[in-house]
Parts: sequence; structure tokens; C-alpha cells
Amino acid sequence: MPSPELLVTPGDEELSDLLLAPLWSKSRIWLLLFALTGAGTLLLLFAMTWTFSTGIGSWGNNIPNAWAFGIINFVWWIGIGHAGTFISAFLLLLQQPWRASINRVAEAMTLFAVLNAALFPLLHLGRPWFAYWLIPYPATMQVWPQFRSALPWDFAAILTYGTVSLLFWYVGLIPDLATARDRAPTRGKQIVYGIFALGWRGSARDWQRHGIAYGLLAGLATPLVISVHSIVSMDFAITQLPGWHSTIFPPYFVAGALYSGFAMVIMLTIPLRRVFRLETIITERHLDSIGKLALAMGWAVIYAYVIEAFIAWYSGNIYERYALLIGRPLGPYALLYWIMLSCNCAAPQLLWLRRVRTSPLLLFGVAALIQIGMWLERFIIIVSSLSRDFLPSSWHSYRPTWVDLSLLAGTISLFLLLFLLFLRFVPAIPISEVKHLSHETSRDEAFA
Amino acid sequence: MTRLSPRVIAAAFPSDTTLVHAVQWLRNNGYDQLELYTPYPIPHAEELLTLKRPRIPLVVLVAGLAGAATGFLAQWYPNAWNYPINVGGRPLLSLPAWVPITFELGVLFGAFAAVFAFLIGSGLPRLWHPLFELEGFGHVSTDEYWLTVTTPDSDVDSARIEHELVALGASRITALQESA
Repeated sequence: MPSPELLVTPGDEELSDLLLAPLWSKSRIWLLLFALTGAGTLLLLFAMTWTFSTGIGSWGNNIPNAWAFGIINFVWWIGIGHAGTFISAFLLLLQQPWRASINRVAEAMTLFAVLNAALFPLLHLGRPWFAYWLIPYPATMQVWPQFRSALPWDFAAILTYGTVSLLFWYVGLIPDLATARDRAPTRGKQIVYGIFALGWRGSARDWQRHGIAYGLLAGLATPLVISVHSIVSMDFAITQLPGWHSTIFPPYFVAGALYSGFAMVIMLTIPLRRVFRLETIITERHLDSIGKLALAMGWAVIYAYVIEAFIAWYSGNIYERYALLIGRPLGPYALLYWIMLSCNCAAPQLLWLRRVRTSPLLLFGVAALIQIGMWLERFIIIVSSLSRDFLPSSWHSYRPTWVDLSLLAGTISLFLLLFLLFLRFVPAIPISEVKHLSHETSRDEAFA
Repeated sequence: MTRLSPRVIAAAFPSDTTLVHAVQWLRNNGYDQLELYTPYPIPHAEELLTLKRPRIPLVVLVAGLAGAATGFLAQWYPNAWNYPINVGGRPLLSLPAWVPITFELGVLFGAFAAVFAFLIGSGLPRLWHPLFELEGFGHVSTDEYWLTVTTPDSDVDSARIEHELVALGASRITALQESA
């Protein structure tokens, strides 16, 4: 028997106050974390300014390693976003009630991850002020973007993904912003939340339209989980580089994206429930379920690794065979390759144990390993393939510079900073959905 | 309901079950101009009030198709018509290469349509509403379940409704005397 989604069914007023409490109270820990992540974000701004003023020559990129940290981080971040959409949209369509407690956290994670992801291609352009050339507009130069290239696909995919995620998140948020408006302790807060609540009154007709629109948005967002990372994978798959030119890339990338995303959801919800004392709302059931999802995705990723290597051998192509069977396990990045395999394939096997899935500390540890492994996976895919292509005379190794590392550390800080702001100013747990769930639960108990 | 007429009665209930009983009584007695205000969507509200399904899905479908058409044309016109470039003899009508953007723009337009159809249908944003002036209406987003009923114009009816709503468990009743 599964453990319950909610451990208590408190009164509605109590529940609202519990979930709104972070909005009204100041906390020292929050300020401290804000200062830390703020400092990290300043580092990001500094590294960005450095990149813009000296050019991307300040990065470790070279020829043949024209794509390196910029694209590794891009793929990593956008992958993390996918689990948020999966939890909030896909599980809504499947009517999984346990998603209610964590869906908004997962959606916020998506938004901030997509934001960070979108930053990297812009920086990687080298001249980001020309980014608008990706939009087809009647320019006096009389040239257009080339839509047979994967880069405009990426642009459309990320733009759509970011926008739809924002709309979905905001529509779900409107009733809770109204609760915040109605319970605001000061007039100023009431006005601010009142503006964002758009005058929501919660009438039966409004709820009906809200439900339909929210369901439709979920339906529209669900294929994005599949399509966005498939399109990202095509950036690689439509090239001829050994190690990239593979038809398994779209499902492989989608599985990897969800994998790292579930790991990130775990890494965010565990401290969250601890700090805000939400153990009764985000229960062991949630940790258990995400743990299982991560394990399932882990196996999808393992399958992709096996097939990728098998097809490289089976193809009989010497370049493919070299890239996957010799270059990766024995080449200059072999150490990273084996760490990646331990993190992505071995570590998640602990999730078979229920004790690991329901122990916050162990689960967090496994998730952190998966996160590292998934970042390394993108490093291996990109750098090990690029640095050793067809002709040994063009081989060249790659090493990141301090600017690369600062950008990575900086986006992690920015992500956490945005997440902290979200926790402080937005109802992080969907109040109306949890209320709905708690009333359904008590109704079920009454009938049982 | 854009204005509250003098004959609107608003009643607050402590639970969704008492609200549902009140609605059933009102409908059985022929008072059909009802609206409910609740902190979460109460089950079966659509049957209770016999609400029609809004046509948001149709709007989204049309917008999604329009978006896909826009996406397709925005690729076909520049690359195949206005400035055709022959890349190694590949066909100018590069359908497989255009699938991603066609799909993405369809989703994008559909999502905007869903949001706008919901907002326009519900008359939002509308930051002020006469109901907000009622004492205790703020609880509607937290823990109270309200209904408003528009009565036929006799005082007898209003008195009867108010009496009955109290008997059914209404904790607060406001008859709106002035037009707002």
C-alpha cells in the first residue's frame, strides 16, 4: 500500500497560513543564502562582461573543440528543466494526485533552468547583440535565417518552451496569488499580490475555465517535454561527427534530460521540506515516487549507452568504433568517462532500496551523483567527440578556462538565487490544489 | 454579472457540503441565477449549476493550427521562395527540416490562445469588483464558500431565501441594497 500524499488534513485557514508563511516572514538563513548566491551571480555578470569585452577567445574553446562548456551547460540546464514539465503537465494528465505538493517547485525549476540554458547559446554567439538575426524579418541585407540548420530550430524550441512554461506556471498560480492578496498583512503587499492575481474571485465559472485552460496547457506542454530535447539532440545528430551522428539521440537525450531533472527536483525539495517544515505536505511518498522515476530514467539512459556502443560496433564504421569503443573508455577523457558511468549507471541502483528512496539524506546523495554524472555525460558527448574526429592531424585537446568555470558556477548561483526569490515571494506549494486534495482525502476517509 | 443589482443576496458557508445543500435548495425552488465562489474547484459544480462547457479547446485548436501554418510559411517563404539557396541539390521544399519550427509555433500559439481564452472568458484582469467590498469576502480564497443569488424582485422572496439560507448553515448573509 502506498503511503499517503498528505499526512495531515489541517483546517483550510491553517493550511493557507502554513503555506503562505514564507511570504510574510523574514529569515536569517534566507538572507544569508541570498547573499551567497547573489555573490555567485555577480561572478556570472563579471564573467559575462569579460566574455563580451574580450570575445569568446577567453573561453577554452578551440578548433576542433568549437563547442565546449557553452553547449555542455546549455544542454545540461535545459535537460534539468524537463522534469519540471513532466511532473506538472504529464502527471496532471495522468491524474497523479501526489504531484500537487511539488508541481510548482518543479515548474519554477523549469523556468529558471530554461533561463540559464538560453543564456549559453547567446554567449556562445560571441556577438550576442546580433542574436535577433535568428528571427526571420525582412532585413535590408536581404538574407534570411537558414531553416535547414538546427540552430533556428533550437531558437524556436527554447523560445516556445520558456514561454509555455511561464504561462502554465502563471495560470496555475493565479488562485494562490488571490489567497496571498486576501491574507496579506499589509496594504502594500495586498496591492502587489492583488495586481498579479488579476482580480481572481474563484467563481464556479472561473474555476471551470481555469481548469480547462490549465488542462489544455498541460496537454500542450507535455509534447514539449519530448520535442525540446529531441530538437536539442538534433543539433548533434544531424552532423556527421562520430559519436554524434546517431538516430538514438532524441530519445537518449530526452531520457537523460528527465533523469537529471528528477535528480534536481530531489535536490531542491529535500532542503525545502526540511527548512519550511513541510514534511506533512511533501511526504515520503513524494520522495519515494521521484526516486522511482529517477531509477526508471536511469535504466533508459543505460539502455541508450549500451545501444550507442553496440551500434558503433555493428555499423562497422571505423570512426564510430574508434570514438565509442576506444576514444571514450581509453582516451584522454577516460577518467571522466568512468566517473560518469559510476554516477549514472551504478549509483542509481541504490534506488531499488525503499530505504534509500525514503531517506532524505541518502536520496539527496544519489541525486547529487546523478547530477554530476549527467553534466559529465554532456562533457563526454561533446568534448570527446569533437577533440578526436576523423583525421588525427586535426585532433586537439580541450581545457576550460576560469571564464568557463565562472560561467558554470555563476549560472548555478543564479538558478539558486531565482529559486530563493521564488520561495520568498511566491506561494511555492499550490494552496488551492493541496486544499482540494486534502478535502478529497477526508471525503474518501469518510466513505471508507 | 457586471453589476450587482439591489436584489442580489450573498451568503457565506463554512464548508462545501453546506454550500452544495444550499445550491440544491435554491435550484429546487426555481432560483437559477446563481454563482458560487470557492477556495478550490468544488466537485460537480458544473452539474449543480448546469454550466455549459466553454469552447476553449476549439479556440486552442484553431490558434494552434494557425500557429503551425505561420511557422511553416515563415520557413517556406524565406528559404524556398524569396531567397532560394541550392544546398547540394537538396529540395527547396525541405519538409522534414521544417517540422520542428512548425510544431513549436503551433504549440506556442495554442498556449497563448488557452490563456487569453480563459482570461477574456472570465473577464480578467479586473482588479476591482463590487463583491470585494463585502465584509468577509476575502475568506473566499481561504476557507469560506460563498454563493450569490439574484432573486426575482419581490421582498417576500428575498426574505424567504435569507431565512432558508440561514437554516441551511450560512454563516454570513449580505443583501445588496444599493446598486454598486
